[in-house]
Parts: sequence; C-alpha cells; structure tokens
Amino acid sequence: MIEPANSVAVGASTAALIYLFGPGAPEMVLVLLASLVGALHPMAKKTFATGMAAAGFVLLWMATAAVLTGVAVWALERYLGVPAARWPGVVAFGIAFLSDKWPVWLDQIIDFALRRKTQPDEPNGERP
Amino acid sequence: MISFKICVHLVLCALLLGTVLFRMFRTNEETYEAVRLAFWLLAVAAIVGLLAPWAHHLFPWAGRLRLHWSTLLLEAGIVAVQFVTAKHWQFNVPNQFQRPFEDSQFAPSQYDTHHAARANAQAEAKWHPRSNPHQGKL
Repeated sequence: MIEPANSVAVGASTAALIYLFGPGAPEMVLVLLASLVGALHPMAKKTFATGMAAAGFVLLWMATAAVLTGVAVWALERYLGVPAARWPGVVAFGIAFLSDKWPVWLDQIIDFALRRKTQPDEPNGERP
Repeated sequence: MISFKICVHLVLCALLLGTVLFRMFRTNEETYEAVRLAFWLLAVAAIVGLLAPWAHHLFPWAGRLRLHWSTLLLEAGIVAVQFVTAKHWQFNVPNQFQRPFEDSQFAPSQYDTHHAARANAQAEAKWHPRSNPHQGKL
C-alpha cells in the first residue's frame, strides 16, 4: 500500500506554521507548546509498556527540548547578539519531533568516531 | 467569565484529547504513517482547542474565541465517533491500520532467498498431506 502521508512534509509544514504564527506569545509558552506537539509524533511511533512510560517519554523530551532551546537562546543572544524572535519555537519543535531519531544518530556518530579512532585505514584505503 | 458554550467546548476537547492519546499510545512503528499522522493532527487540534479560550492572551493576533453551536456539534460528533470505535482499540491497533507482515520492516527482504526457501519448506511440511497425515481429520 502506498502511503500518501509523509511525516517529513507534515513536520516541515508545522514548523513553518510555528515560525509564522508563533511570535508574540511568551517564549517559554511557545517553546513548551511546540515541544509538546513535536513529542507526540514519536510517542505514537514507539511502543510503551504503560501509559505512564509514554507520558514520561513526552515529558522527558519536552524538558530536553526546552532546556536545549533555552541554552541556545541564551548563548546566541549573549555572544552573537541574535534576538530570539521567531526561531526558538521551531527549534524546540524540531528537537522533540525527531526525538526517536536522536539516540540512533548519536550512536552512529559515536560508532563512527570510535571506529575511526581505533581502526586505522587499510593500506589500500579500504575500511574493514 | 467562562460561558456555557466554552465549558462544553473545553469538556469535548479534553475528551477528544484523552481518546486520541489512548490511541496514540497503542500505535507503533508498524502502524501506517497516515494513520499516525491523522491522530497526531487530531491531538494537536484538541490541544489548540483546549487553549483557545485563553489564546488571545498568548497570541494577540488570535482574537477572542467566539463559539458557534455548529462547532460544538462537530466536536461532539468527533468525540462520539472516538467513543464508539474505542472497543476496536481495546487491546491493540486494528489490523486494518497495521502494515501487513510482507511490508513490515521485520519481514525478510525479497532477495533473501535462503529465508524464502526455508519458509517454503516449512509451509510444505505443514500442509502437505504426506508430511502431515492428521490434516483434515478431526
């Protein structure tokens, strides 16, 4: 069966909506709302033993998105003078929307880095 | 002061969010993406609906919420559908919403000829009358 829906397209359009209509709201409210909306999508993808585990997953990623976005807002405003006008909601949404992929990507990056460090290239340029 | 219409709207949105979260908890990676996205959209709509009476404080462009009876009727209809169909979600996702095993990520590749040969042999051993003499007998 061909699936007409595409989560990338839906995520991108939601991020665009947050970017367009988000400004004006208190920053923290927007970040929390965007991260809640974002974290619900991976929650539907994963299997949980209990409802509390699912709620914990959503809360954990809401908190992670809020903290990471807050740090980014603070650092960019402090050191680069970039005002937090439109992008914090989009960033929080992106972090939470991709929350099922971050662990996999981090593992791949760590694996790649470790393999590169521990296994030198073969003489003919091939990697084992 | 919150009007009667807004109270009904809030109750309906809360029920809608509850029933949708219940389904989203049941869905998994093998559920069709379109189904998952549809429920996600419904959850977002319920959250926005729950915040709508106070949205003008947060988003100045939103304006005050003015509810019409037709909106409440529509919400009540959606919630009714959710409750009526809840029995199909009692234990698991309905089969129609799940990918068939051949399309699943856990299914072996079509190029995995070893698996195909083994599966054929198993199927033959199970259904061949010579290898399964009890088949067809009570």
